[in-house]
Amino acid sequence: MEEKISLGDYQKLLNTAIDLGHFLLEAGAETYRVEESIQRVLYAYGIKHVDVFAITNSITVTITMADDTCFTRLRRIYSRGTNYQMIEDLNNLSRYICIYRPPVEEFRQRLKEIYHKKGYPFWMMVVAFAGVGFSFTLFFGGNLRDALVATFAGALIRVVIQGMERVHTNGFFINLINSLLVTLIALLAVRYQIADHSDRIIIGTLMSLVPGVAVTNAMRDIIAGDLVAGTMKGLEALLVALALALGTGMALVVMGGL
Amino acid sequence: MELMMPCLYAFLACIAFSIVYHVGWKRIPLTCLGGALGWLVYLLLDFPSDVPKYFIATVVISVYSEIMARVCKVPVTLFLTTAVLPLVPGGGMYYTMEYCVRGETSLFMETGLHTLALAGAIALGIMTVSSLVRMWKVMKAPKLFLKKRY
Repeated sequence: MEEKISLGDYQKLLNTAIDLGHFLLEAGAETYRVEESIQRVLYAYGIKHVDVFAITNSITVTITMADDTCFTRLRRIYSRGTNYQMIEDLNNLSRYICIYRPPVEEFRQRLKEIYHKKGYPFWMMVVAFAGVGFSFTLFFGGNLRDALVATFAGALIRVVIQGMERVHTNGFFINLINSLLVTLIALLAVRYQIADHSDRIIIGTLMSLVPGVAVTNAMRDIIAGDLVAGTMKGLEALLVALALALGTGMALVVMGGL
Repeated sequence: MELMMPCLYAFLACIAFSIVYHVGWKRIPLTCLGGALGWLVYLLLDFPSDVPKYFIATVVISVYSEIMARVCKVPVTLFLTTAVLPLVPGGGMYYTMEYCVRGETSLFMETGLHTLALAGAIALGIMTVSSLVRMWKVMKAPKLFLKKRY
């Protein structure tokens, strides 16, 4: 297939490919996956050289054509979460593109569809957070009464997170407040004999805030050789853990002194 | 029964976490099976120390995730991050902090170091399997990143 692609099309292609990388990074993919996806997609369209540099909050792509024309595009990424459904869909999309090489317009259309696909609704996230509290409290050896308090606390922290994210609070403060809240609930529940083990409630409920994805991705990035991105993610995980410890510690001190 | 209940709780916890991480409906059963499997391996192993048990359980989970990712054609992290969560030493972290607040220095050091060792064991487990798989991938696939300029 040797159809001529105009320069404008190359720019459109570059923009679409960097969108793909952007959504991947926002959904919590590893850095090497972002770089590799962009490269594979662009090479599939017959570009001679593709250079990609991605870290946790920015992507830079330069494409070089056979006649030495080149374009560079930088994209800054602000928000990050974890959305495996989206990573899976984007992964399938880039695989599809590498095999069939559809027109750029179709590529963009499919990307748009994936981006606007609805995830789980908010109430379901609340239920999931409650479920994490419930099952991890039982897992760590709490009894049923502990688990019920943890269910309530888990649902509450999801609601608090939602409220705080609406006013763009930073992650450190969100985790601090949430761990403070959970510890207070657990200690009060034990004081008024609603539950029996405050430690198990706290551990179980705070599992939903533990930075498991950040740690795993940090390690996978470091293995793949992306030391900058890996270190950034590792630091982020460390800060979250620190915030959780500080919040819990503060509540323990306050309640111990009452 | 003693083995069953913790594995069931791990399974339930993984279901809840799958929803938190927006894992698609179709993938949830396999993901949670990984979590339950990891904890079962941990419980079945009989070593005096926790650290090698954590290491082996993580290796089992990583291998499971790599296989399942290839079967379902989805990224490995989807299975790995969710299934490894029951192993996260949340209890150790909490007690370390509690001893710190109470000022019990020797217990704080002891628990802290143990927790760190457990976290290290998990990291090492994931790292070993991922590195081996990466080596195999590079041997098999054309080298995308080492494309010659001229």
